[in-house]
Amino acid sequence: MDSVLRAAAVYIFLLLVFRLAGNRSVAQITAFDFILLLIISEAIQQAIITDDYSVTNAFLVVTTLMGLDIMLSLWKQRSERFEKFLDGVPLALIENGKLFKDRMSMERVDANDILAAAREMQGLERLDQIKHAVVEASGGITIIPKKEK
Amino acid sequence: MATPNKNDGFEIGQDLEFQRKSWKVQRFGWLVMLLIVVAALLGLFGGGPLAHDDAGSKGSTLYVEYRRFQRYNSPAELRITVGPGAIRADSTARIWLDREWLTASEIKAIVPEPERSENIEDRTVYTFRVAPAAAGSLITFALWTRKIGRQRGRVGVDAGPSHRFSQFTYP
Repeated sequence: MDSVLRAAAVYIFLLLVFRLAGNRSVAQITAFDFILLLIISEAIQQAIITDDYSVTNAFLVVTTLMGLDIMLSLWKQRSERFEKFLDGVPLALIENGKLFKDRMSMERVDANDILAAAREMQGLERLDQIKHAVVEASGGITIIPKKEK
Repeated sequence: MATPNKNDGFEIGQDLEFQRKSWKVQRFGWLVMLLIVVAALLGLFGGGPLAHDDAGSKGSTLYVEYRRFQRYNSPAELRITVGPGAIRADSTARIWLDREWLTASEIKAIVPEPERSENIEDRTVYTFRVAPAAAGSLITFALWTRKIGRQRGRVGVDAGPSHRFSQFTYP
C-alpha cells in the first residue's frame, strides 16, 4: 500500500512543481538544468524507495507511475479544460510581425530566445523576418517566417 | 474553450484569459514555494529552531528536550536530564515513558544503557545507575520514527514529577 501512495504523492507533487515553474523552464534545457534534473531525481528516489529495496516495491512504484500517466492522458483526451490545466496553452509572442512585450516578460522569454529559435529552425537573421512566434504548450518556441516577396 | 485564433488563417489554440489566470496562479505558487522554504529554514518541518522544545525547567528533578516536529523514517532524539531529586538511595534513577508513545519510534540506543527495563501498567520503566551530580545527569534516547502524525508522549520519574509532550511526525 505504501509504495502506491508514495509514488502517487511524488507524481502529483512533481506535476504541481513543474507546472508552477512554467513550461519554458523544462523545455529550454541548459547543461545546468540537466544536472538539476539529475539531482531532483536523486532526491525523489530516496523518498519513493525508502528502506524497501525489494523488486516488488520497484514494480509497484513503476506500475503506479505509469498508471497515473495513462490515466491522466485518458482524462486529457476527454476534457479540453483538464488538458489546459495540465499542459498549459500555446501563446503567440509575435503575431503578424507584432511583438508582444508584456507576454514575453510574463513568460520569461526575451527577443534573444526568439531569435535563437528562428536561427535554429528557419535560418532567419532578424526579428522582422518573423511572422509568428509561438511558445507552445510543450515549452518550445516555434517560428513561422514571413513569405519572401 | 480554446477557440482557435483564426485571424489571417493562423490556427493556434491560444486562450489569453486562461493564460493570464495561469500566470497569476504561477506567481502565487512561487510565493508559496518561497514561504515553504522559509518555514523549512525556521524548522517547521523538523530540524530547526522551531522544531525543538522542552518541558520542565533546567536543574529541576526532570527536564526533557524533545522534537516538536520530526519526519517519518528518520532519526530523532529524546533527551532527559534528571536532577538530584530523581536519584534514589541506591544511586539509581527510575524513569518511565508512556508505552503507547514508545510504539511510534524504534529505540536505536539509550545512553547510558539502563540496568533494566520493565513494563508496569501502561508504562515502560527504565532503571539507570546514576551518580548524583549538581548539574543533573543526561540520558539520551536515540530514536527512529516509525509512525506518521501526532504523537502524545509522557515521561516521568517513578514516584516523582512527569511531563507531557506532543510531537508531529511528517510523512
